[in-house]
Amino acid sequence: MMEPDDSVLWARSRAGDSDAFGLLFERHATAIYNYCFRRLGDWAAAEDMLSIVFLEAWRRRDKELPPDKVLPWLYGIATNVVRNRRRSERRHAAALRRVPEPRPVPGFADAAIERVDDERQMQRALALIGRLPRHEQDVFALCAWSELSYEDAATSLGVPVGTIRSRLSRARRHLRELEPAFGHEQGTRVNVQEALEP
Amino acid sequence: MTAATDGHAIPPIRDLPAGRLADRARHLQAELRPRPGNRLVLPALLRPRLRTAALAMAGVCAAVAATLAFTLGGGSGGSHPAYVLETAHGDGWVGVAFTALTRLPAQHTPASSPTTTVIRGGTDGQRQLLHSIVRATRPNTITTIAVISAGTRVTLRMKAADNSLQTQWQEWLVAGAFRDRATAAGKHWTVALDNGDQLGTIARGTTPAVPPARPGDVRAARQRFERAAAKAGLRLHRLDLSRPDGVAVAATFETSHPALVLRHQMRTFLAAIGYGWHGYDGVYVDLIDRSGATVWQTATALRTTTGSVGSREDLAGCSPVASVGGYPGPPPCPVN
Repeated sequence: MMEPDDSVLWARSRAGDSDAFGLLFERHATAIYNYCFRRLGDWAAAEDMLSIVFLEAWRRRDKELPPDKVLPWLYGIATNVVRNRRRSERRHAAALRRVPEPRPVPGFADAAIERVDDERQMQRALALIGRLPRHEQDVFALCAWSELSYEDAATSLGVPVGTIRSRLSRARRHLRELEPAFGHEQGTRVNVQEALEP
Repeated sequence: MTAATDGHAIPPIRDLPAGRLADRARHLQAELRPRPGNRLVLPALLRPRLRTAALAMAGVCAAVAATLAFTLGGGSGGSHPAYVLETAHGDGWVGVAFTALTRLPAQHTPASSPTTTVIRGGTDGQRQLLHSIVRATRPNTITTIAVISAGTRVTLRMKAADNSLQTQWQEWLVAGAFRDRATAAGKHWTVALDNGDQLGTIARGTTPAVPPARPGDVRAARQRFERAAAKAGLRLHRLDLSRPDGVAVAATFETSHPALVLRHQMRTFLAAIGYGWHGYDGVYVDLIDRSGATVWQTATALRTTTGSVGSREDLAGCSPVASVGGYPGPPPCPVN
C-alpha cells in the first residue's frame, strides 16, 4: 500500500490527527536529527532538539504549507530552535524531563566512540562556520550540509530564492578567505580509540 | 567514513542510537495528547488546597477564559492543555503558553545595562508607538524589534540581549501594550510576537481589564510593593516600575536563606500584592541569594496571558507558585 505523502499527513495533522503527525516524525526524524547535530556538534543535544522541533511543529499546526514543503518547514523550525537553544529547552523543559532514559545497549561502545569522533570533527567545522554571519551559517548548513535546494532553503528561512543564492555565495567566499585550504577535501579525523592508545 | 559537502568534511548521516527513535516517537505521542487528568503534582503545602482549587478552577476557567481568552502560542488553541499557575492561596492563573519551569535556565539574570532598542520596518506610526512603549518599559533588554506588516496582521520580531525570563517578560509587555494601545487608537491589528521560540498571535477583541496607567498609579504601585515587602520582612534589592500601557512592576529580593523566604515570607508578600496580579500589565518577581544568583523567579503578563515560574531545583518544593500541568514532583522543601 502506498504511504500517504507529506501533504496528506500534514493536512491530517492540522486536523488534530496525532498518528499522522507521528508518521511525519518517523519519516523525517533522521534528517532533522542530523541537521540539529550539524548545527550543534552534540548528538545528545540534537536528540532533544529533534523532540523540540516536532513539539513546536505540532504547536504551530495551524500553518498552511505548500505541497512538498513540510520538510523544508521543519528545517526552518529546527534552525530557530537551535539558534535559540536555551529558550527552546526552557520552554519545553517539562516535556524533556519526561523523555525516557536511554537503555543500555549491548555492543554500543564502538558506536559511542564513533559518535565522540563525530562531535570533535563537527566542533572543528562549526568553529570555522561560526565565524560567518549567522544568516550565512543558516544558508550554508541547509544548502551545503543538508543539501536542500535553493527553493527549499528559501522556504525554510522565509526569504526569497535570490537571497539564498547570494548568501550562499558570500558564505563560500568568506570561508575561502577564512581558511585558504577551503574547497579541498579535509577528511582528517581524530579517532578517539587510536588517540587514547599509548 | 566522512561526508564531504562543499569541500568541507563533516560526519556522515547517522540514525538515532538503537531504540531511541522509538522512544522519542512514543514520547512525542504522549506529549501531544491533552492530559486533563494528569495535571496536579504540587508541592505538599499546596495539595490540601488543591481539591477545592481544582473544583473552583473548573468554574473559574470558563470565566477567566471569557475575559482573558487570548493566547500567545500559535492560535491553534483548542486541544492545547491549559496550564495553570497555582498559588499557595488557591488563586490561579490560566493560560495556554506558560513556560513550565522546574529548573532555572542557565542564563537567568538579564543584562544589567539598559539597552537602546532599534526598531525597524512597519509604518512611522507603528515605530513611534513602539518607541514610546519601549522607552516606558524598564528595564529593557530588547535590542531589536522588526515590524512586519501584512494587511492587518502585524508581527513583532524581537531580539534581545539575553535569554532571561525577565527579558521574555519585557517582550510580552511590549507586544501586549502595542496591541492594546493600537486597538485603543482604532487600529484593529492582529498582533503576533515572534521572539525566536515563541511565535503566536495575541487574538484581537479580547482586551483585558487593564486600564492605561493614570497619574499617580506608578507611585501607588511602588508604595504597595514596598509596603508588601516590609510586611513580609523581605529585603528589596531592586524595584523597577514602568508604564508600557498600564503599570508593570519588576521586583528583586535578596536573601541569605532562600528556602525559608520562599516557604514563608514570599507567600506573605505575594498575598499582600494580590496573587492574581490583576490590575497590572505584568509583574516580575525574583529572589537572589547573597552571591547574586537567582534562586526563584516568576513572571506574568496579563495582556498576553503569559506567565512562568522557575526555581532552583532543590527549592522547587518551597515555591509559593507552582505550575500545574506537566510538573513533575519537586523535591520536598528543606525547611518547614
